[in-house]
Amino acid sequence: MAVVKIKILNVIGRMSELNDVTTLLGKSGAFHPDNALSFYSDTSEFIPLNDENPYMSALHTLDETMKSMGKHVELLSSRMVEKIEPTVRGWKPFVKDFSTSVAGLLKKREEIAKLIEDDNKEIEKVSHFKNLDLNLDDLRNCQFVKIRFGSLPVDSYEKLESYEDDPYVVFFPSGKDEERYWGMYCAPTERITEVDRIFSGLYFERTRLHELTGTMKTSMSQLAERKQKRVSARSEIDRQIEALWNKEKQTVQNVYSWLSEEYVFYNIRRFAARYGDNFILTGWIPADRENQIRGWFDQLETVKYTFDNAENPEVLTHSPPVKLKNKKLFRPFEYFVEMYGLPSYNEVDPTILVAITYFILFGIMFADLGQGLCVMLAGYFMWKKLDMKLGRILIPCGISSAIFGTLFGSFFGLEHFLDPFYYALFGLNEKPISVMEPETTSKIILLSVMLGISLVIIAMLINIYSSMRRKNYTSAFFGPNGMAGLVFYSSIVFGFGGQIMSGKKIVTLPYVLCLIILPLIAMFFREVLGGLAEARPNWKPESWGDYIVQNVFEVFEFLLSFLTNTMSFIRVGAFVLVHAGMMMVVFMLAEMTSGIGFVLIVLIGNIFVIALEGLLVGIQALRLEFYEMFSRFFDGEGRPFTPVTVRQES
Amino acid sequence: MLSEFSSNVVLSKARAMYGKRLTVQNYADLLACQSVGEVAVYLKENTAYEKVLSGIEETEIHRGQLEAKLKQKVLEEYASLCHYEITVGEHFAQYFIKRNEIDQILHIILLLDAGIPENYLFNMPSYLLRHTKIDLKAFSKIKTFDDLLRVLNHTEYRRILEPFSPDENGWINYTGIESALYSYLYSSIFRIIKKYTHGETAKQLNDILQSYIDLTNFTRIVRLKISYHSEPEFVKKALFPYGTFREHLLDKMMEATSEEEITAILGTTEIGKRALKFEHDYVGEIPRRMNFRNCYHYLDFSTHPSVVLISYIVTSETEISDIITIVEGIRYHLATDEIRKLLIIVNN
Repeated sequence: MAVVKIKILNVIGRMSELNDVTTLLGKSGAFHPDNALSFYSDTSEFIPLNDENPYMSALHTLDETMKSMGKHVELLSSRMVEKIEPTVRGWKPFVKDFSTSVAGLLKKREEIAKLIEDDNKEIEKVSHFKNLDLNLDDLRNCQFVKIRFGSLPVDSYEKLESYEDDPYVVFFPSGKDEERYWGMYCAPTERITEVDRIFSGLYFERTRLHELTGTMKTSMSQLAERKQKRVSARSEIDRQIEALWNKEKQTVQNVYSWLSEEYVFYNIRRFAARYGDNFILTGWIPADRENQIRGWFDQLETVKYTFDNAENPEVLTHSPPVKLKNKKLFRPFEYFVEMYGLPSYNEVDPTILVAITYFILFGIMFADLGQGLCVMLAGYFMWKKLDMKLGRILIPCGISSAIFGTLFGSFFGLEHFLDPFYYALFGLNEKPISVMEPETTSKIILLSVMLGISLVIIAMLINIYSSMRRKNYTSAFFGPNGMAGLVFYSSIVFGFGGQIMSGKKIVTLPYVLCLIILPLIAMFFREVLGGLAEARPNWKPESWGDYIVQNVFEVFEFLLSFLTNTMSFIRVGAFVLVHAGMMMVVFMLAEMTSGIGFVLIVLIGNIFVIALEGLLVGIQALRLEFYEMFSRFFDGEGRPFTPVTVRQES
Repeated sequence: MLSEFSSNVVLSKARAMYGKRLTVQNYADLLACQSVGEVAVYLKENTAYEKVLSGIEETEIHRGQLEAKLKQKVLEEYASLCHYEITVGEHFAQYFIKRNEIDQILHIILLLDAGIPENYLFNMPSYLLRHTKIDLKAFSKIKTFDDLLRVLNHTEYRRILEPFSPDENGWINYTGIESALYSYLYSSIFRIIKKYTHGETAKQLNDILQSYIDLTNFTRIVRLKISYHSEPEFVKKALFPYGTFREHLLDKMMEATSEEEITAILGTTEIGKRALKFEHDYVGEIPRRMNFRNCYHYLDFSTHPSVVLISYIVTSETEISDIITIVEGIRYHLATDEIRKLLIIVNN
């Protein structure tokens, strides 16, 4: 079996030892808790434990505080946390003091930052007038003249030409940007209202310079000085924050690590239930950790426990969680299986089948030595640098493509590049398989169909085995993917196929009656026959008429699926031809040019084919796996084994 | 033939540009704004007006500035579309410029009548200066009607305005001037349509213009008769001599004694039946709503570039009109629902 062996653990004890139990189980990193109440029939006297986690608030506060500082700590290892545990007894006041200090400093910083922003706006405003050589104090003291600083849209400035006769409507520009002129105008006190009205009509926007004194230049330097002081103050606060962090970093790490553990372990209680002053807790552990857990629990006073195999029929009803375990060679393909769905605990793990068939299908459909090697390298890069699971799958796929590419004699689309290799090794003048030759084309299609037939039969055999293991005799013997379906399918294929190919009469009346009609009848009445075989009391259908009508359509669907699933594999052959065809087009285009043009077109064409066809072939092969094969034997309704852990494994 | 087909690019271009119009959500967001600045910010950050509003100071923008910027966008787009419309584009561009010139002339006459012609400068559209032959800056210096005629000396408008010199009391016949100028404008556009277009193109263009003229004449009759109690002769002179309404129909309207009666007479016409389906608070809304509706239809369905060109401009101008309505509503603190009722596109 390619799943980790699991056992169910039931624990009972006094409430006083619940913390110890959850801590031990949490530290094991191998305990998958389950809802204890679902394992008992009469739970009326049980109370679920939904206490608030006492560590949540402090952990959250510490987390938020570090985020606000832009800091981060790595979690200490479990052993280190055990060591430092005595030092974190005062965690509550520490978390409170630390977060309060940081919050205070950050608040001050924010206030200063806002003042700096205001200074920036003020400086920008005043900078427009820096070319005006005027003393603001003198201007304010003027009795007979009023001065206005501000800006005018460019359009309006051009309109001022119309006031050239009016000596009081004059604008003195000091600066200009794309949309506005910045400067000032002035007028005698008795005319200022009229002049203000004219400028207002021209959309003059006034800039008030109340706080400034001296000339524009001195005002600007005053503002710059003030801003600089505030920037220094902000830097000082930053320094204080950094100093605080340097001082407390180790303690923060210790407390944070300890709190993270305690928080996670405490959460295990949510799965437990209370009965008086006792608790019950249920979960799953890998079988190889049983002795370790026993050793720990034996040290506790009131705790009693039992282990049970997950294979037990009673335990199976609770759907044990599943962790796949395969050899390193096949492990990358667990990604595809998990994509479809994990197998139930007593279901067959299809990983090895997927690994082998996907390897073959991809290789056949994407057969090119050079391109296969490129795919392999791309997969390696994706796995190592980008940490992508798909990369690990592409490596064997690339190798398969290279192997089949060598067989079909294709190297980056050059169909005769490997001819010397064949001559040297086998004495052949050219490659043995030339996919674009007319006689080869039909053979490729035929072989694809035969491959499909083989894989469908293999899928049925797996289903029979899997169903027998699960004591599902209906599916094993009478279902469309069981013995009846297998006999029916293979007798049609080999009977008619053999008859056509060999010319001998295979399909006779007894053959048809026993190997085609009889299995068909078995499939039609599979539920009735299965019920009898399993000694089910309700084997009879409620209404025979409904049963027959329903099954007519269902059997029709089975028969159609046999045909379509088989024909679906023609795409394998089609992709062989497509690949060769696409490279033929690339070379046709390349031959229209010469020199560097030829090289570029071949290069770009290969890249394009690798990317596009690689993607298509990958998807099509997966489709064949999921739809044509998995649908025959695999439900994928398992749930994953997710033990409680504090630290994520990389 | 080939050059006519190349005008078809206007179809795609105009429709693509129209695709960037304000959505229902945009209108809702604009109605939620509290100031002109907020409206300007919203238009700049969320709509196709971003480019034309790029350099503005949002917090300090005035309503007049905003309107000028928006109208500038329409003018620039129109010039760009006319450039592609090879058959009549250049002539339609001239029509658009003339319309703007007439608006400016009427504006200065209003200010002259109010005794504040110098205020013209404040709202003078600078973007029009390089397209028009009229010295718009000189408008702000005029003091009398004769000064105006002098400024318009080298243009065809002088001849049109000369008969309307103020009487001895200084009264200016604004309505008569408006009719004369717009009659001149419509005569030139109908001449262009007759000379340069034919068949279905001419039919659709005439439909757009004549239905608008019909409804405008209707509105004028209602306003002058009912609101101003004008004499029938005066009303007759104020009407545009175009449109599909026959003289006897117009006479019937002028003889009617109430708005409801005039509206009922309108309802007997084909255009009237369509127009009266719109809900309206006052008759002045009817021509604009109907014109928008017509042009919106042609923009979607017409296959004639010049029709789509005109339709696009009308719909764009309607959009700007709605934006300005919202801005004015905000400035005068009208309730959102009240402002919404005044909008054309949202209630279409």
